[in-house]
Amino acid sequence: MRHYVDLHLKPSTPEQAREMTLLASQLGYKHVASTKPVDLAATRIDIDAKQGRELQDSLKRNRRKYDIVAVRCLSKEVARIVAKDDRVDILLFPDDPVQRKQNWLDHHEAGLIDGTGRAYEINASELLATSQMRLSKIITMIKRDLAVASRHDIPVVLSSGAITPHMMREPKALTALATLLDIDEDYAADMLSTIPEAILARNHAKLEEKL
Amino acid sequence: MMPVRGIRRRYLLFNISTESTPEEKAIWETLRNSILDLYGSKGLSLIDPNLIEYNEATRNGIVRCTHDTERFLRASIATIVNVSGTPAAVRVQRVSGTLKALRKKTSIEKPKKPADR
Repeated sequence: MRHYVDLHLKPSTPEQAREMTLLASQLGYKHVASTKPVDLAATRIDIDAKQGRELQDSLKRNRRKYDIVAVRCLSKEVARIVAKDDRVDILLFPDDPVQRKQNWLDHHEAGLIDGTGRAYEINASELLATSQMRLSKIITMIKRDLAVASRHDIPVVLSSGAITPHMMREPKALTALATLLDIDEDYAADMLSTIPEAILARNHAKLEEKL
Repeated sequence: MMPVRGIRRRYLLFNISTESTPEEKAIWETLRNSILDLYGSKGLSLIDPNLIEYNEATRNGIVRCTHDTERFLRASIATIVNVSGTPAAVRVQRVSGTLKALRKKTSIEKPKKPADR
């Protein structure tokens, strides 16, 4: 039986974090990771970095405090550092299609990530609440990244990226949304279960080892 | 005579999470527009959706599609973020191949038709 995992909840308050964790459990998720600390959820930090120095400082300060460390690469410099840094679990690229034109998962980047276990993340929230024109651009960009990730065997994680309870969906809805990206149903289910579960297990083991 | 099998369907029980009390017509329009936005007219005809029933009190409803387009309907339902201008989330709770089985599994009674005068 699959254990579904949502590695990206972005509540704005601790109360909302509790509400979203409870809802995730009702929707069928076994584990979740939240950017606001809450009982029964793994902790996650999203680092938005444009320069290498600020990224290094942030990683040094936060790696041991969080179960999941994700970095949104706002420049090529940061993307290259992330590809080589073992402290990063997940890499993200900007949501904005204009920014994404200069910054995406290219073959050189993917070559550096290959075999390290770092994952590329797709947030379902990017596919919701958007105009048809923007959605078509986002789908094209994600599909381009997925083609590179697939060629280099980079694991891909599917998360909700929900900022409110209304943005949360049941696991089958997220795997159905993956059809928009031409992802096979079984692999979409893996992206929401075995792949994020392995990342969580690996990090829990690492953090316990260090303690 | 050549045996002809009817079109196979899937029936999805959904629940709407929202602050307001949307009407059945608004739900149907939102759902249809969502499919049109994602898959266009061709997709709408392939999915062939039909809102079988909707209960405003419980905010539960049943929608039908053809059996091989269930994932497309689920994706369309997942992209709904507001109904009549109010933030909303539509979540599928159960799926079945027949309406009878779906009602049995979820203990939903068949809505009674108003008595003829």
